[in-house]
Amino acid sequence: MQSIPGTYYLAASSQCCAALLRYSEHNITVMAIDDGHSVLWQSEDFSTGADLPGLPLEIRFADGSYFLPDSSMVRLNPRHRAGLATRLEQHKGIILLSVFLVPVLLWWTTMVGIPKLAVAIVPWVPPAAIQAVDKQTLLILDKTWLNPSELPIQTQQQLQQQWLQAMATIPQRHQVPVDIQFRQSKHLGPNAFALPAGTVVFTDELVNLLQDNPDALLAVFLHEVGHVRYQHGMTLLVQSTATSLVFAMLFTDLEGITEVILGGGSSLLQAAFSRQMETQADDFSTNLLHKLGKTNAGFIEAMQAISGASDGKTGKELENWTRYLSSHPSSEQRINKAKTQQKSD
Amino acid sequence: MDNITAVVQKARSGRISFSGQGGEFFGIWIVNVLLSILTLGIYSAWAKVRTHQYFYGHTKIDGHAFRYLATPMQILKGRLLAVLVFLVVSILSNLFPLVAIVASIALLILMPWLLIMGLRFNLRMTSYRNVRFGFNGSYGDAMLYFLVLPVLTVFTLYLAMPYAMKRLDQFVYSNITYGGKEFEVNTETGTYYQAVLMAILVTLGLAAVGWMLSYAILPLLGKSITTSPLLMLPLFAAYFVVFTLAGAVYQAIIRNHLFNSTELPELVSFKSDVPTGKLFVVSLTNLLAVIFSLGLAYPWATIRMTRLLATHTEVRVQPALDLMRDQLAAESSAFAEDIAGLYDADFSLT
Repeated sequence: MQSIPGTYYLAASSQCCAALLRYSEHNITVMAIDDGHSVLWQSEDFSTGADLPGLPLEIRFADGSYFLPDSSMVRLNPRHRAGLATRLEQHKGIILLSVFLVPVLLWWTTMVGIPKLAVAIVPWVPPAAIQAVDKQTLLILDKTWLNPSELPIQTQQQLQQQWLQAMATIPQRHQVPVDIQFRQSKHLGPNAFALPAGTVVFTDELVNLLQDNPDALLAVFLHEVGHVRYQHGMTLLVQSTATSLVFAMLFTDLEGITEVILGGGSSLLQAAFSRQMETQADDFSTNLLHKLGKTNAGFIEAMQAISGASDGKTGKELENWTRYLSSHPSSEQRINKAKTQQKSD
Repeated sequence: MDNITAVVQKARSGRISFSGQGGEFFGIWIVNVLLSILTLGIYSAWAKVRTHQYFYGHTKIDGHAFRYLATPMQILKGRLLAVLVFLVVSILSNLFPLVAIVASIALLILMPWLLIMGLRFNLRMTSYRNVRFGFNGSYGDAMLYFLVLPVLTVFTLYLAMPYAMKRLDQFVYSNITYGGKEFEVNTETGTYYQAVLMAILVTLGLAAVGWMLSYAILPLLGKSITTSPLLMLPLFAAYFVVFTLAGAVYQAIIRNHLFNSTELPELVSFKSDVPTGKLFVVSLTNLLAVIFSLGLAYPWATIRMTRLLATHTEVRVQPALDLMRDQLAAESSAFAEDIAGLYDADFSLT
């Protein structure tokens, strides 16, 4: 028989009184201290509240009343042993292990787990859905950043033909269906991009910039085909959705600055993955140029022309500082890589 | 201790006591994060309940602790539903970007409802001396004070914003109930203007100091660096410092005013005397500690802030409080509160 001092809170009422709890073999009696030890509650039925470090254990009764011991050490078992969660939360070894494991697991989840999951999920996305993404995205872009192309129809058809012919001669496993589009865009400048289902868009500005250099244009085209071939667009989409979902689940109670840190961290990660994909598309492009019997010169010239046209000199300096924020590797890096590949051949 | 047969008693006054310990909470937090990761997020519902119970249990007024009554299953159910909605919306809006626009409009219409459902759930799950809190705010009022009024201030060039903020606070706090009795809020619009003005003055003052500093320092660094984007870094940091300080000034003035003008008629009244300077120093050092510890100082910072606010709050309790009845039934869904959290529209009451 144990006697535990504490406070008894009456059911559905703010009334309470100092009381003694007597506990034996699953029978509980609560007695008032001041009032001649009158019995306030007696029962075999009771439940306990959550067991938390530094807090007394609540003993709850069927009518909604409860008893709160004065001491935070009281537990209703012979050895006053705390619950498993509390013991873990107070165990120095477990805490130390957590401090080590939490960053490692978070790093693993975002760098390995989620990307792998994304790659595994992407093949299951129905082709019709990916087509819809292309169609809708292009529709929105046409209403915002893009205008109809002002290139002569012959030029457009000629380029399309050239590129599709080149595509037909590359190894079968690298061939993907593409839909080549031309658009005028002051906002984007000389640029090209690929949408997940194979819509490849070239800006007039890029075609004009490289009009005397068909190999350079071909290199850009193959780079975009690389994105389509490796399903980069869909993978990034799945990955960013999964990442924000995981972080929302794990850290719902964080606010303010911690959220900024986590948000910033995950943007940096996304950028890193995007840079990896650009590099993969670059390699795809330079590899296939070789298969087509061409050198890397076209690729290098395209990179030089694009970075020269958009950034100029200060741009180069900027790239050095912002490389971790950027979704693309610096043009200098990309050119150098293509040059070294060239030499080693 | 209080007695059931209390007859003649005087009003009791005292500070809110908060006995949570940084070290102790660190253990709870880090172990719970680990368990949440290992269970793919499922345990996060248990983690949330334990964290709330820890803070509530360590917060005492007049010798009695608060209780958090929500069960992990309630939280988990809401959380799973929220995840499902998030997935459906994000998949659909990726496939059909137009859906994103429709979804954001739907969210705008749903937001006041989510906010009041969240407030209601949280308050119903809060108990003091076995009597629960509650929230009576209606959807229409929530729409008016959360969305319509703040948006309308655009037409006054935001000059009416402090007034809109006053009405919003008044809506939230005057609809809180304890044992069925509503809180009464008598805040003054003038104080809100004063708080906003002080926050603006602090912002301008700091901007001026920063501007002068940059003029003093830049020539020392030489010309080459003036065009460097690296300059964005101190600018970004300065932005954070300025907004923390301006925010602290506003928060200190408004919190003190709000507590001093709020009461549970004939039962409880409050006095808050949070010093602006102290709140600023604690906010700023918390911010720096969390950043430089890569988040590990989060538990310590949270405990520190809670303790600061508690020690600067005095509560005066009338004897009639000892004879309250609980009039609320325990039923509400955690879904609204959680979906709001996932979309980051949730807000705290402290």
